[in-house]
Amino acid sequence: MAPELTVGEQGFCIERIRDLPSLPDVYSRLIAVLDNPRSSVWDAEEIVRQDPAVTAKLLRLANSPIYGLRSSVSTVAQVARTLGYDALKQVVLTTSVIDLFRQGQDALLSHKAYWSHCLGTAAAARQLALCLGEEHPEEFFVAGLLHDIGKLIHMQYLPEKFCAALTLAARERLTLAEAERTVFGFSHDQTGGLLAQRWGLTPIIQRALAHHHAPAVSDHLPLKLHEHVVHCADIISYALGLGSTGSHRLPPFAPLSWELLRLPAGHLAAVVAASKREFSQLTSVLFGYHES
Amino acid sequence: MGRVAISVLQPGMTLGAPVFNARRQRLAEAGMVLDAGKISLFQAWGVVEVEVQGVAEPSLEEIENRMAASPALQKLSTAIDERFYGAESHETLVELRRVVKKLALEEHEG
Repeated sequence: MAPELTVGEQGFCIERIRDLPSLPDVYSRLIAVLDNPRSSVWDAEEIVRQDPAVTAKLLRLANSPIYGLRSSVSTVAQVARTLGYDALKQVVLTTSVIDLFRQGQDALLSHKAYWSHCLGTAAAARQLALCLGEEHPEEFFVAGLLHDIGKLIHMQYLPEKFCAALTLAARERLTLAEAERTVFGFSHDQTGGLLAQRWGLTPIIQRALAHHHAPAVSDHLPLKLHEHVVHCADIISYALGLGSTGSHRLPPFAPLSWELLRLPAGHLAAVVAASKREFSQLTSVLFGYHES
Repeated sequence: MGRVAISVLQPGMTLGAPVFNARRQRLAEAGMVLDAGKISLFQAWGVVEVEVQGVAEPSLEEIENRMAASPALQKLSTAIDERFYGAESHETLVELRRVVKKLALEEHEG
């Protein structure tokens, strides 16, 4: 039995949402295959190929300048062999998760504007990870992509209250998290952390979603930079004006996170420029047009 | 030290920081003096800009003055300022605003 998942004292219980969306099927099955040491790259190919839309976007993304391949790839197996399993998982999640939560769109925060901000954050998180020499930059991309997923839960399951929060944020020039807490007592970062737990995402990703507005250093956990990187990437994406967040001011700024990254002088400019380029390439593939 | 677009790199310039490709493979070290072959290599790998020694980064004030010369750019500059509304004046945020405005200016100027 799953542990009880509650959000603070407000009594909101995510367990009450009976039809909480599951992870995209193609992604779940891919993870199961890649986690099985007896599986081969051909098993991964078999699963992904069953979803032609995901396969087509996967190949377009893999052949885009984001990955800088010198020769093009034309099969899922080639993507796996050339870019590695981490990148394969990241690209499959990216191409499949965007179709989740299509219901409950609000005029104040469209589906496309929402995902544009998340793609900008994902790109910035990956670029920061690359700059820091992190071994698995795709893990940072995924954390960035999903960091605001709690907003979609609110949009879908608490549409009236969420709309009130969006309106309050616009009227009072607040961050959406501040408005959500005022209207219904908790915010999307908390809900996102709970959903990540429900989805069985790694504890690092769970923390990144739950703490991206208030990253911290724990005395009893090894330092992982994900929540700090996503915090900084969220601010970069907002500062670049990529998509929309429902907020009407810059997300809260945590100097500690920027200090932990220790970006060498001048590297912020490189990260910001590279993030913008990667964002444009991502939206070109995923939305079919160039967004800048 | 400032960032220079690959299209205006000249042999004889000195790199101020290592150069990487999109897969984070190191193509050149800081301190290397560029020649035509190295510049071609960067182009082949899709490098867009590099850090070069002896090139000063424009200040926020200089960038804003350039943006003030065009109504479209002035509007863009104001929109960027709006995104930083109420933000504290931490040096990182000041630098981020400068970087975002510089990027907007460069994109506008092509």
